[in-house]
Amino acid sequence: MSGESESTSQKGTLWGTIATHGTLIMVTLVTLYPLFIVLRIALSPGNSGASASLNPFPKEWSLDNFYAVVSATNARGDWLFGRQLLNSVVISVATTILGIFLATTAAYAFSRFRFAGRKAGLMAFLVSQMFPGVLMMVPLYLILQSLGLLNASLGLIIVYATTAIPFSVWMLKGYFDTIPKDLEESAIMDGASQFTIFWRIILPLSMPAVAVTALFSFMTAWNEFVLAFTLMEEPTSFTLPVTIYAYVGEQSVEWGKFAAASIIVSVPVMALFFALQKNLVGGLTAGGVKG
Amino acid sequence: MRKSIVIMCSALAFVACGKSEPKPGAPDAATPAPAADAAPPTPAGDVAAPAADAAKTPAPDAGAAPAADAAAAPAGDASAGETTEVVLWHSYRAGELEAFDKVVDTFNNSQKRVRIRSQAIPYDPFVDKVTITVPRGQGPDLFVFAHNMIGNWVEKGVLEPLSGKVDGEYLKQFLPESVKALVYRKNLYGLPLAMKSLVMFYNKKLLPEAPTTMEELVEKVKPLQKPDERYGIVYQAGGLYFHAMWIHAFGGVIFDDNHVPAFDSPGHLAALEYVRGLHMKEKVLPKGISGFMVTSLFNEGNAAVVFNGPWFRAEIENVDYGMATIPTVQGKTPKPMLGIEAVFVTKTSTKKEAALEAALYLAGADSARVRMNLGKQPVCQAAVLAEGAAADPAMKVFMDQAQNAVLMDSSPEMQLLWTPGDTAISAGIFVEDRKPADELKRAQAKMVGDIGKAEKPQ
Amino acid sequence: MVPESTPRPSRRPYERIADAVTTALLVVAIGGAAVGLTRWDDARGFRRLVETRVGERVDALAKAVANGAPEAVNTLTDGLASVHVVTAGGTDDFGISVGSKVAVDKVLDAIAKPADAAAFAQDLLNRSAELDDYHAKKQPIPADRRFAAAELGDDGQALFAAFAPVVKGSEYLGLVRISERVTTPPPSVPGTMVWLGLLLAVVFGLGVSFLPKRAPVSDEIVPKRTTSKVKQSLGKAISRGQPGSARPSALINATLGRWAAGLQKAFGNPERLGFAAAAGLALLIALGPGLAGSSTGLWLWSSLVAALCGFAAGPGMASVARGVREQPGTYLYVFPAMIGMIVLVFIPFVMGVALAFFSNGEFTGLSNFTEILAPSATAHTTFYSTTGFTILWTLSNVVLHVVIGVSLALVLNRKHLTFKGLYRVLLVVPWAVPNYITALIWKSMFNPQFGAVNGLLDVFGIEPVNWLGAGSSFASNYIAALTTNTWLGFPFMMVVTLGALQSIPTDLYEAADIDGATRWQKFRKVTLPLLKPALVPAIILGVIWTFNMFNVIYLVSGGAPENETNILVTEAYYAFKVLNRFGLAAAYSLLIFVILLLYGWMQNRITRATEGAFE
Repeated sequence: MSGESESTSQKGTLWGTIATHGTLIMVTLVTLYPLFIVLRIALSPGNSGASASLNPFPKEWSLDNFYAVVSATNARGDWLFGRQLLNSVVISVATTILGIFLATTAAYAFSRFRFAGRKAGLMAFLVSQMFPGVLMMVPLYLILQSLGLLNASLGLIIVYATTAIPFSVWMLKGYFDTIPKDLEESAIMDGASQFTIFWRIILPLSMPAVAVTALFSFMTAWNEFVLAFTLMEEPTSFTLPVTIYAYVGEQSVEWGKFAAASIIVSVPVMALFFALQKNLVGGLTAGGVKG
Repeated sequence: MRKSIVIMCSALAFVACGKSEPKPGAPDAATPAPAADAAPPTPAGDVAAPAADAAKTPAPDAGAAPAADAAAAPAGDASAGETTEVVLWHSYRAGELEAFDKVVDTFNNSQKRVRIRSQAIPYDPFVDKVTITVPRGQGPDLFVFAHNMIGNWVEKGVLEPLSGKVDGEYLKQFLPESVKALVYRKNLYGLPLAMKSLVMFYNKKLLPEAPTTMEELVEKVKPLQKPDERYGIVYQAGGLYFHAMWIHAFGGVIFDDNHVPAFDSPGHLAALEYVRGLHMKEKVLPKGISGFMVTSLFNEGNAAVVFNGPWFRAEIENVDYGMATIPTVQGKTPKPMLGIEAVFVTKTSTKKEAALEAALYLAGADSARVRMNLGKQPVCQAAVLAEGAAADPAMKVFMDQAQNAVLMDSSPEMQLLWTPGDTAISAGIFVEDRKPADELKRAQAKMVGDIGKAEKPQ
Repeated sequence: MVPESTPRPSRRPYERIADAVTTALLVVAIGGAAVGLTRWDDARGFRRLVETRVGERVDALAKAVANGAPEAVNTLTDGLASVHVVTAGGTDDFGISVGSKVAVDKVLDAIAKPADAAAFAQDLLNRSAELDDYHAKKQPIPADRRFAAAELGDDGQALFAAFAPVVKGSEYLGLVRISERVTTPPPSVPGTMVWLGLLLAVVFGLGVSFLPKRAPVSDEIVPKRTTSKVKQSLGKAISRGQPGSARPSALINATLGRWAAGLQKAFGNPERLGFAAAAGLALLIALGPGLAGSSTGLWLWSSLVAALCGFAAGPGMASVARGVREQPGTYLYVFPAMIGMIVLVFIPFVMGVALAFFSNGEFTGLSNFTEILAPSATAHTTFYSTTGFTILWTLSNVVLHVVIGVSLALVLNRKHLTFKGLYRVLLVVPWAVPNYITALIWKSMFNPQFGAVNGLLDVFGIEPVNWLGAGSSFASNYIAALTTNTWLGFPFMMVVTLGALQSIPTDLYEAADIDGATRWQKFRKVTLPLLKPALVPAIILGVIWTFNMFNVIYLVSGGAPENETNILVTEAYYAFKVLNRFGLAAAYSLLIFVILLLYGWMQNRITRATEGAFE
């Protein structure tokens, strides 16, 4: 069963509890301080929040920046924020679904089957993480151009899903490895097909790992700015992170709106984290301990 | 074993029999693109892969080749009666955006031949997006941007030359410097819209009258200062862009006649030592000021004098401020860098005629009036600017300062100077144990070295 | 795992077919690459030839025009498709070139007559202005300003144009433009050197493959650690087979045998070994004369690199093909993901790698690499110091990530901790927020004048430190970037550890308690070993991500001071963006990749993590 800490004999110590909570609170505050600053900037009127003060609370509270970001329109009166939010959601959800599909099938094969190219394939996934991205943009652009996927959400979705695959496959494979084979063997004896086993037995058992894959794919697509900006032509097809950069000007940054946009972009990911957090912990055990 | 021999022999046979007609064109080397650009304040980045940009045109410039490749193909223009839509990119925000949209609307409504579809693109990665899309045939038909990237862009095949398509008389209505800014290799590449240079903003409560010399200024602001709270002269002194006005005042130049950086020179040294004196001896110039700090200090009433550009007007809140040209120093006139915002036609556009017509309107007098009055832009239309100067003292300041401003260099080499220049200037002014002369020498060496390493315009 | 090197039973028909198909594909691929490159190189060579010829002609014509010699002009314009002369009228007030006389003088070929005379004239004028600029700056006119070409029809004909400035003394008068019809010749046949090289490669490959075959030492029989013992036993086996083991030939044979065995073990396949060695030798031959840009070298080099890859992958590809035939369903599971990876990741990577051997559109072989790796008299290289710093950066970050992450996970793992879920979520937040935003926030917090960090130091009465910007030291910039990246990176390690801790059975701890183990001993002997399988892959990923962590270095320290805090990836970016040297940036990227590959391989050998994860 799940292992807990060694200090079962000390669970009653008051000092131990205070020390533990004290440390945790300190670390949490340090961790969250920069985000408080961002919040402060976003919640102060105009750009006044971006001052040098250490205080994480705004001097004046105001939702102006959020309002301005959300209600931004373009020259023709299109509601930019709404469209960009929609684009982001559609693209990220599609990426997540595609990513899960691709990663789970591949990881299952790598885990369960023996076939030529298996080891090479796994190493290839790892190795692909080593390519510095600096070089990949123009070849990628050219390839997408020849495939006719420029200025199309589909292009972005495919690229994002592909980016998220290596990490997900590695992690999922490790998780699949920990599922005992006898489950499958008995199912085979009962006459189930390989796919049924995969779909009905393995996947449900691997929910934690699948949750992490989903989260990772979603994050990759949601936070990505550069490719979305370069590939898409119209501002109405941009995704949300581009909004953040709309507030960076030639000589001045509209800090208030920049921070507000940053918060808005970060919230869905954090919400997803929170919703999946139980799964998160279990799911990241790549190649975890057996038994 | 046998299989391998078979492969070898087949390969040889294949090669020996290969035959076809090669084209005498240069090969199309796929060129990669690097990450997002960094204007001094804030660049872009990404979790998975930094952005990419900038491509080189693969084929040689066949612009003047014979009929097989008709020069300046006006293909794609609609015949009379149909509306041609041209796509325009810009990065305006707030007041300027409002004014610009109004101009575009007026144009679209006034005639049916050409329709502008304008799109606002974030400023920071603007250059990258243009550089990667236009040479590949994607991208807009025209776009609005500052003039300092012209050199780079022409070399990469992004801009369409306008000389010969624009009447000489038409150009006379602009401030001469603004047209000169758009001439690269003796060809005209854009039409000027607005200009930007540094001027002096001062807090009227602290300084009722604008000083005319730096000496006077320093004397007046010293008593106004409060340690760690209020400062006399607040501006981004460590940046080459802001420092340039002193360089030009003391006789230094950025590039010499052979287009080599000339930072290791008496003029530069004098300028650097002067500003260093302002910080170290007179103590009227604080260190570590970012663009944002300038705004917030000024708005809090804690900055007596600020050197900043036209964009600053939109950021000032609750301060009774005045504007003036930059005071003279030791009898010499400081000349800040002049940046021209212009409208360009792209080389790969299929609607160049229509785009040009749109550009001519955007640079014209009517558009200038709207942009100046509504968007507070110092326009390049001489007559309109004079009108504006008569009505608005702020415009007059910009107009006067433009007489004493030096155009920012638009060659590709200029882009290599910013970082070493910034480093040398910040160190030379603000760091105790660094000597300005050494810093300038070091910057000079780095600049020349980088220019040597960089890709030559081919 | 079935080692591929055990002798196979006689092949079944479909195996042969599969092998034949694979072979055919390889031949097509290699042959096609070779043919394509030959043609490209031929085209390049031919173009250079035409440029020289036409260039000389137009220069002579320009001189004749300048000197006003009509007979010379007539002779020189014989047989040309078109001639145009433009006289520049100087520049107007704005510096724009104006023409005083545009003479469309001699148009000999109807096809060459421009459709729109005015536009054509203006273009000539524009061109004249450019050339004048070069003349004024005393710079040589680059090839793509002087020449232009356009195809005419399908019979391999093209119109080739060249420009030359008309200069009298030091006065720039105008521009001459001629165009000539050019027919491209058929491509050349590769020279004898190529044949010789290939022959040598074949011979050597055959020779190596005929080395005495030793039983391949598979990992299942002999663990990796006992390599030396293997060698010893092999040596004994060799010498046992020969009486008088001290004889020189026996020693040579023994040495060769050990060497062959070692290599065979490394490659696992004598075939592959043979041709990899052959291709390697051919590569060396090619490197000699070829890399300065000569056509033979280019052809040889690139086709042999293709051969090397092909032969190294050949047997592997054959067995994959076989596998697809035998168990298609399996491959169906993997296929979609692999296709995406190949098209969108590996192909761009290969394109990028290829680019490292080019400069400015020309094939320059290893010159980008020598520029990076080998210091010369005029330019010192920063590669080694940057690599050193990158390694320091990566090590310090990963160590901190792991220490902090694991410690926090241990604390959070206590059974009756209230708010555990809340802490967990809050501590993971740095990973969730986009890192370009938080990097900027951290940069502002480290601002020497107005940042929070100095403000905090002030509260404790410590002197403010000049963290970033002018006059800051290497140490302060490094610490700022390190802090930022640590903040960004520890949640990942923490979550991985938490997960792994969950699956450690409690009875192990209870048993340790019974044995009277201290906390530290329990941690070392129970927790740590059981964490390893989960942590090690995470560490590998962490190392890779940190090594290439562009955003933090770029946004926080920007490489200051004096590029001392640059990591390799920011150097590559600099070459890319600022210096406009794509080839150089590609070379940097390839080096980064190789370094990381080496690291992965070493890490794999040390911890055998992937073994554990693979089993």
